[in-house]
Amino acid sequence: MAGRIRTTKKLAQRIDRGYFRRLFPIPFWRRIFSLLVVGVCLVWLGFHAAAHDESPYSSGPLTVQHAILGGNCASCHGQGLAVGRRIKDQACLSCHDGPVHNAAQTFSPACVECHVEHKGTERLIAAQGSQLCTSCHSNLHTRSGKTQVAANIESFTHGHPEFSVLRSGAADPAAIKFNHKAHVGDLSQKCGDCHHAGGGVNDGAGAAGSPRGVMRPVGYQEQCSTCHPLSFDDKIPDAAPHDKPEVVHEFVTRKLREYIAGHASELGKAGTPRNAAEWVRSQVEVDEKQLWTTTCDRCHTLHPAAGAGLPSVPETKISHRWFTKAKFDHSAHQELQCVSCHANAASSTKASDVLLPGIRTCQECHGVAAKASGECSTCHLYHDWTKGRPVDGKFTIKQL
Amino acid sequence: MFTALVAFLAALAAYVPYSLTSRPRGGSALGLTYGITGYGIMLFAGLLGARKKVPVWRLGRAQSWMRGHIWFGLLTLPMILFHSGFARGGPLTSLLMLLLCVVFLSGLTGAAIQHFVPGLMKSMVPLETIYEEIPRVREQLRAEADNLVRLCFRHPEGKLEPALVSAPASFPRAASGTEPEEMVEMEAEEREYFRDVYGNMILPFLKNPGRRESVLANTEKAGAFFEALRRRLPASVHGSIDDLENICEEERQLSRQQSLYLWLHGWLLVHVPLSIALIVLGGIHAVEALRY
Amino acid sequence: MTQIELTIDGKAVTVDEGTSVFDAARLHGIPVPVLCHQQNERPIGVCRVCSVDCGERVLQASCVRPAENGMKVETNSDKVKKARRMLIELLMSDHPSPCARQRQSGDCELEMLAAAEGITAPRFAKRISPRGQDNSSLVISVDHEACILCDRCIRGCDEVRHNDVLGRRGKGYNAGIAFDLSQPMGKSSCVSCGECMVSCPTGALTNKSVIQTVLPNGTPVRADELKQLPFFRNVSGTFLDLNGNAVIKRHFKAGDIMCREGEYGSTAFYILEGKVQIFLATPMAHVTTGGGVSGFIQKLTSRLTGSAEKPGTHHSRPTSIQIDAPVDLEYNNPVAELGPGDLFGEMTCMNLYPRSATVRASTDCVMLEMLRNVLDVIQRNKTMRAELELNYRRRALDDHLRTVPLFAGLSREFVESLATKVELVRLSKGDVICRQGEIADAFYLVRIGFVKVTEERTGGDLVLAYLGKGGYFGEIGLLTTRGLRTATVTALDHVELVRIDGKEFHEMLELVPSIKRDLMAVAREREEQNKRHMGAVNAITLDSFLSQGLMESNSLLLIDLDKCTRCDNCVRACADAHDGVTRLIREGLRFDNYLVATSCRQCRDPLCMVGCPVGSIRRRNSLEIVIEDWCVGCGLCARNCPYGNINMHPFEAMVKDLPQGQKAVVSYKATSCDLCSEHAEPSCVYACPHDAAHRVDPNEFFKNYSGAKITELS
Repeated sequence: MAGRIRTTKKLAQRIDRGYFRRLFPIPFWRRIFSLLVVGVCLVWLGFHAAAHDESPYSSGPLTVQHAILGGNCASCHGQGLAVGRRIKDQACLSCHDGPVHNAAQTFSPACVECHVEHKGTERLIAAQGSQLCTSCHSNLHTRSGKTQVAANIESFTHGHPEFSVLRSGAADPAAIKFNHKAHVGDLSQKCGDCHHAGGGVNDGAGAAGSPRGVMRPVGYQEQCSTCHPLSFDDKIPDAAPHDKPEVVHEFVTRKLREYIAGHASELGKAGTPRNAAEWVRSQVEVDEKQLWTTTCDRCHTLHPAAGAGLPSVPETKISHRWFTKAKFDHSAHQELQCVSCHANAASSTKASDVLLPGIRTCQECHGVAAKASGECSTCHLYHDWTKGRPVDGKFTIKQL
Repeated sequence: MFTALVAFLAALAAYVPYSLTSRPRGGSALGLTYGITGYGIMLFAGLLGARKKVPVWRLGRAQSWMRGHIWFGLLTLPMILFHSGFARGGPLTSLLMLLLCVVFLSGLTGAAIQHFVPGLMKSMVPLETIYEEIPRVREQLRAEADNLVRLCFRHPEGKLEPALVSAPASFPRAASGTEPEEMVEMEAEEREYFRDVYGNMILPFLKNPGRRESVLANTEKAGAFFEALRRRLPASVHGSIDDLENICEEERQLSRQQSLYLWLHGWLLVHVPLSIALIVLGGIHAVEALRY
Repeated sequence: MTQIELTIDGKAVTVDEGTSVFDAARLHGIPVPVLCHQQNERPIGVCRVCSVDCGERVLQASCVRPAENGMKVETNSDKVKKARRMLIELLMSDHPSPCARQRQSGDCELEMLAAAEGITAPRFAKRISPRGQDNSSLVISVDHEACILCDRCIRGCDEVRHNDVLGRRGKGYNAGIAFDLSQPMGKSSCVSCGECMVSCPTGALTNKSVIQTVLPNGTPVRADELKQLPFFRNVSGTFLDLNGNAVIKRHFKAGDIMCREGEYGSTAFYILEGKVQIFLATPMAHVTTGGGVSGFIQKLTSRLTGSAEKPGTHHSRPTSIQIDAPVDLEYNNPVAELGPGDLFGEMTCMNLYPRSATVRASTDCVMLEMLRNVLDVIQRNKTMRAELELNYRRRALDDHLRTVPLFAGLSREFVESLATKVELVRLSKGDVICRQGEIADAFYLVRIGFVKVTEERTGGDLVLAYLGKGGYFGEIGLLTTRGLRTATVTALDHVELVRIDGKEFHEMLELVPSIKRDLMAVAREREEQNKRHMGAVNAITLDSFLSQGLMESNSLLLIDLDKCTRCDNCVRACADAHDGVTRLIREGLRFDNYLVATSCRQCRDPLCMVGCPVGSIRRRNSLEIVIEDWCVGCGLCARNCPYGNINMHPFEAMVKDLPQGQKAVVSYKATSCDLCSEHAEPSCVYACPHDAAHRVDPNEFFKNYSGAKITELS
């Protein structure tokens, strides 16, 4: 028995020399799988294509507002090959208004520079960083070549000018007499007794301003009338309305007339006229003098009329919002004591005192790393919505 | 490889300031560059398959291609991540990302497998042959076994009982007609025993070597089995028994080789189809993305 | 001398007494066809084709039948014609028509006769048992099939040339001509004079033309010119005639390079006029690699057979470097000069080794460049051999002996006295020089080629050493007390040895006691080393290295099994590079971490080349063995290859010249790895993605396994 001797030649001769030309399971299944996987993918795409749904090609989910456009890329992107092309502004403007930022700006960036889509359903469409603003404002050029306030704003903490009211040093233009000190210090009233958040006013800031973010204007009816009733006659319990002198006059006259009609016995008493009409006339005169010179004058400075007419009340001009180009949200700061920012409020005696804190107060937190955002968009809006125009819709329901 | 590392560092160096200054987008110039580079690398990696189809063309050594495939392949993931700005994107891009990750991971796995399994194969299967030819080699082993036992219990006319034939009849028997064949000397009873054992134990194993439950599928058990057989049978057949044991050992090793081979090449079943899909869909993505 | 008269075909003729009928007819212009007889040889009358009717009971072979007075001879009667026709038909029935001669020159005498008789298809059955071919000679191919046993060659060899090589063998159908005691012609004592080939009437003995190499730009030399030269004087003119292109004359200007170190060549040079310088192109390399050939010996001996040097005393560099020429180069001045009458390059020519030195013409000179077959003839020629040996004795033996550090101390006188006593021995591959257990009778130095020293052990032979040029052996047997050979020494290729008889050897040792002392030490050391070697772990790998025949190979396709993923790209690449037929099988035996793939190993002495009937498998001027496209698909090389590296592959071929136009038939051709020689790198290696496939020189590559570099050709 020789045993089994393996030699190269014997080993080689066991092999069919053409074996490699046959297809073996692994390569075979590899091909099958390749076809299968590619096929499944193409079927998936084809299925969508058949439904004219181009959503698979989306580069990311659209915001909820735009979700309706998801299946039709062309509605924003336009037709035809567009290598490196961006969404044109017209595409946006066909649905949205986009007022210009500043008339003096040298160029207008495209919508998509700031408004980035396909970044998730929840993400804000206009999420900007400060860079977008500072790219111009750090070295501002205008059409006229001149800049009004500041040409080099690097960030909130670098180069941002003082708030315009404080910058000019102008007094509060309010034509009213009010003594904070008297109310807060002497009468121990709290800020919140008069100032309430929630005074949202659509002043052009659009929906962005929270209705709670702005202090409601202090009004006579709610805040003052309890302590400062507009009583004009002992005989009449009603107070005069807080309104124009003409209305007040008419009110006073009507009230007195009603009174004398019910108390005829008082006519001629103590040297008063016996005639009711006469009585009313003289009594109105007395009461109105009281009103014009004392009651109203406590807060308002009336302009006496020439001759016998009624005086006029000048416009009060109380500033609801100091910031003309920015928004401020009190509710976002509600954890703070009022006086920690409005430090002078308790000691101010005149209404002409501007109690707005200076930018330094803001900078104590904002723009400081890890404290509060110093981004431009925290306070500022890009579009000047005061110049907003309505949009003419171009689509039908079916088109969308 | 060096180039890949340099390219990666360059890409990284470009990406860091880019991602800090602006939002990374696939469509920006740099993002597009990443995308095109990434896709280019994928295409290049895919060309390895095509390159293998034309091995004779002198397009650079296959080894260089393989290295390029691995190293540049490693580069695709960062490139595409930079391209996407680490975002998932829409359905197609998510799918692409998923495919890329799977392809990438399977590639890594494969590289690891192909690095370690050959050594394993070397030590575990000393008698390995060409995987594709294992069935054929097995037939020949069976033919060899047939020849061996034919000398022990054959019919007068030299043919084996049909019940004891293991190799398919179509397969040519080893030529033994030239040598004088002598019947191996054995007692009738021993012959009967051997025939019994061969027919009931060895033959089924040879016919179906993949079955685990056979005693012969286990090296130790098989050793004991043949040892017992040798003790039971006269020395005249010990040579044949040795050879049979040898054949069984080879059969076992071939089974082992088959399973190792599946490891060695099975991962390609994932890697290759998915990478083809990746390239096809990547192309579609590119076209669609450039359209809009 | 008495004259006799006789009538031939009715014509009265007068000839000398003792003239054969054949000659008588010839002399008078009556041609008698014959096969076994020619004029310069003794007639023996075996073919009977010359039979004539002398008016006797049976027909007589005219070549041996003496003419008699009054004889009436019919050479062309119906009876004679009928008998002759039958004879030719019978001869033709065994004749492989057309035979080699008919194919080569169209002058096979038997076939010419048959054609004259109009015999195309003999009616008789062909001989059943084939007698085979013998292609062992480099110059003459023997086709026993075509032999008609006319004995013309035997008479030519024995009676004309007195070489006494040829004779008869066998009986009946197996009868045939034989060389010596029925040796293959190449192994016999045949001197390749070519007489037999010239004598042969059929294609049984034909000239083997060397298709191999077309010699470059030289003028072919006519045989008669060559015969003028003392060097060629004893070479058969016929042979030279037939190999007109195998020797050319080339002129070189002073400074021309004739051959370059490291090149592959297949020719040897003989200097007619002028002088040439032999030098090593890269002497520095030889210095740095630790001493050329001796480095090789050192490695071999230190690893396998013990140190050839006496420890501590022989760390000096060797004094000379041996090259493929009858001189050795001094180590310090590696330039030597050869003059007219010298032959160089024969080692390259015979063994297809790379050139061992660069040769440059130092004056204008005229060279004869010759191919292997011519060189073989010359070396077989007795007078030539004597001359070559004389040259060697005179010039190289001294140097040769001195390269062995042991003999460095021999006096010149002693070497000269030795020169007359040494014998040059030529051996071919596989010849056993001495056998283990024989009585030791000589000491050997290796001059050309390699020998293998093996020891018989249970479980097979263990190779102890390979000795190349400069190596020596036989001293253990001579020096140890038992006086028996301790190992078997076999020639690995064409080997030339210097044999010093035991008597002279002992004399030498007596004269120079230091050598004896050293040799004794070496002998003891070698013996101990051999013993130690048996236990060495390396013996296993080395053993498998040798048993797989790896040392024979010039280039192996190795697949690193730690890296190979079995992807088969190599095989596909091979198939792609060769019209879809792979010449590589990723299967074979393992050696260490490597799979030795089934692909041509470019053996140093390729067995496959032996016997190719059309010479289509051959080496060009480089390493790779190619199979030219004139392969006829006989499959001999595939059978000869011990490693299964040559395979027959069916090709569809179009057969033209058929009455019905073309026809597709399957014809076989041998395929073997050609190293993708048109490319810089074999396709399989090129296509391996995992750096697993390598084409390497195993001896270089496995240096650490075998313990020594086995081929170091200086």
